[in-house]
Amino acid sequence: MTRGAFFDRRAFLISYDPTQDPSGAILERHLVTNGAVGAGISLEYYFSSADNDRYGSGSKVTHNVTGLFAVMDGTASDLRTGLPSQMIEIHEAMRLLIVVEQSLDVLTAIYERQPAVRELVGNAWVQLVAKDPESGAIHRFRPGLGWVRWDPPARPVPRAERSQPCYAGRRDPCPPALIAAPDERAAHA
Amino acid sequence: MPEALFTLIPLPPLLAALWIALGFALGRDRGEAGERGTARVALSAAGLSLLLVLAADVQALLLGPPGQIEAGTWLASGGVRVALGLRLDAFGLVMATLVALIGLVTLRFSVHYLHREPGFQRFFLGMSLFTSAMLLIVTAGNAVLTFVGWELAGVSSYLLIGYAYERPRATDNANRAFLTNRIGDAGFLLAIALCFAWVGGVEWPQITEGATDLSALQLGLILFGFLLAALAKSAQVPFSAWILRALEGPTPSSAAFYGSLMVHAGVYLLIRLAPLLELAPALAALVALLGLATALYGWLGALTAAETKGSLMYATLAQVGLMVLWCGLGWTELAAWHLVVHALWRAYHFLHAPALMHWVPRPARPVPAWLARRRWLYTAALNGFWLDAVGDALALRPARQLARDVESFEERVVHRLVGLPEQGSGVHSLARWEEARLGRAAPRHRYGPGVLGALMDSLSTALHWFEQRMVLQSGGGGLRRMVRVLGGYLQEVEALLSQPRYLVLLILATLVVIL
Repeated sequence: MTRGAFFDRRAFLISYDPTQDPSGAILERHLVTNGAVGAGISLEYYFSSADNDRYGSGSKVTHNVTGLFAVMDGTASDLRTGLPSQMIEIHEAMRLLIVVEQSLDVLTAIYERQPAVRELVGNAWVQLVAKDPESGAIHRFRPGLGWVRWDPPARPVPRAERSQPCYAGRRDPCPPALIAAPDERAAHA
Repeated sequence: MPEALFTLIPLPPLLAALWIALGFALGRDRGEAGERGTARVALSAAGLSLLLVLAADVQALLLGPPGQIEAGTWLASGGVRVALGLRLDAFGLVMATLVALIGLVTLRFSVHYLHREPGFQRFFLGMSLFTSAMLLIVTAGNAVLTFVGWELAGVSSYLLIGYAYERPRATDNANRAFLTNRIGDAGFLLAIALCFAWVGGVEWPQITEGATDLSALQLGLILFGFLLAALAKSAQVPFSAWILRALEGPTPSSAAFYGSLMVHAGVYLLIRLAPLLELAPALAALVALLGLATALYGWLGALTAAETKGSLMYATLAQVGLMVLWCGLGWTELAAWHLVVHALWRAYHFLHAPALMHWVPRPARPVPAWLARRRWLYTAALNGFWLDAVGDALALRPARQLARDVESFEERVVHRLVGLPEQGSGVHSLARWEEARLGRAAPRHRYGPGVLGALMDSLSTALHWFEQRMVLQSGGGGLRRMVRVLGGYLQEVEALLSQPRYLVLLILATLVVIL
């Protein structure tokens, strides 16, 4: 599903084969554990980037380790939360988008069974997208509306020979691209 | 190698600082693109200093230390002369090597540590200035040059404590540290002036040798000035509080200033003055006592401090207190060894502080049981024995009051004498002008209804007229008014004199007159 895609430091890929998991038991465990971890990382990153002074912890340079469990600024301040400003430049701050290859029925059942998943997805802290293993149709879960079909825009995804030219010389995140596979490159040459 | 070349030892970092400052002066923000250039300039300057010091070291090993070297005269007026020279004896060279080395290491560490910081340029400006200042302190041939280094170190310390100047706490602490150090500077200046007057010069060998001919009182006063400077700079009790507040800056600067170099400047001065201290056993005992007090203070503080930088600083204070104790006891050599070893160790320690979590696998250790049982001692140690509050009550508040008194004196007396308009009287005079304009037209007030009211009214008008004509404008009115004003002033002066700050001032003035 993600073959050849270049996400520029945005992706967190987990192997999953829907044909091996018709009941969704494996997926359920993935969503409860990895979904929550991913949501935590992404939200910490998002809030630390959105307002580094309030939700992040400012510059590392003046940090002072306190009680071996937290940091404060200089000689006296509130304990700081979130990520320091030096750590928020690696990824693009955005809401976590969980894309799962599984049928809507299985996912809906998990959603109804698992309060943790319901809390994150139902309150829009993260977005859940399902790709049907058979038809390939893509649905996005929208709180209050349920599954809504999503069609890819006509605009093509940019293609590149290698990922390096995409990010070279820039610090800000670059848009996703499709990278040519080695055999394609060989055919090209 | 010509010895005059060694006088350049403190110069390269100063030039680097000037070069960085030039960027600011021209309004050209070197910013992130300029990081590499700035780092290269600052590092090569510190490296050049280190090379010069090492060359001097080699020469000292082969031919003996160069000793007192001069590049020329800085100031000369009548009998007063200040040379532009360094003192490169064995101890001075060891100190210079130490300073150049730690300065260079800290600068190198900071290149990556401060990468992409908005204050990168400012930081390197302060650090370069500081390296130069410290080199000048430990190599200067006379007290005046040492004082120049002393002040430059103070200024760079101020700049870096206030590094995060958007935080009020940081700027407050920068002011606090700067002002506390001014007390020591007053002592230093006093000592320099007295040296000029009584010893006839300020070259260090001249001071240490010439002091033997002085009377006990003269020696005591000179020494008192230097001691004040040393104790304030090395943050000994009762000046310790400033250094704990000084840890606001980036960690590498804390390492170089308060962990390993500037905090030892006072000890360095004490070691330089050891021959004088031997001649004044009472002052030496006082120094030993204060050193011991600081060691205890640092020890207790380090046991209770919750944050890393604070507890490291307390530990540093404990060690520096011991060094001061050695100086007071006359064990100068031990103090010198202690200083060098401690400076190296503490620089490493402070530079490690941000990564402490990676080095300490266990949770924070609780306060030892014997200390935890003694609640009062624990509370006192946790609060740094309220040295801050005591300083506020004994020095800050009276000084502020004094400033306010002087201001009001200026406003009420000086401004009137020289005919300046009173400050803040704009509204007042406007009101007076309005009053005068409305004066006659203002409606007459009746104080009560009926005949009685009218009677009272006319009576009061008559009395008012009487007062106007007979009392205020009668002959000699001016004189009487003056007497009254004078009386008021005298009363105020008396009230002021009964306050402790003026008592202290009076006593000081009397002392000055007697001396």
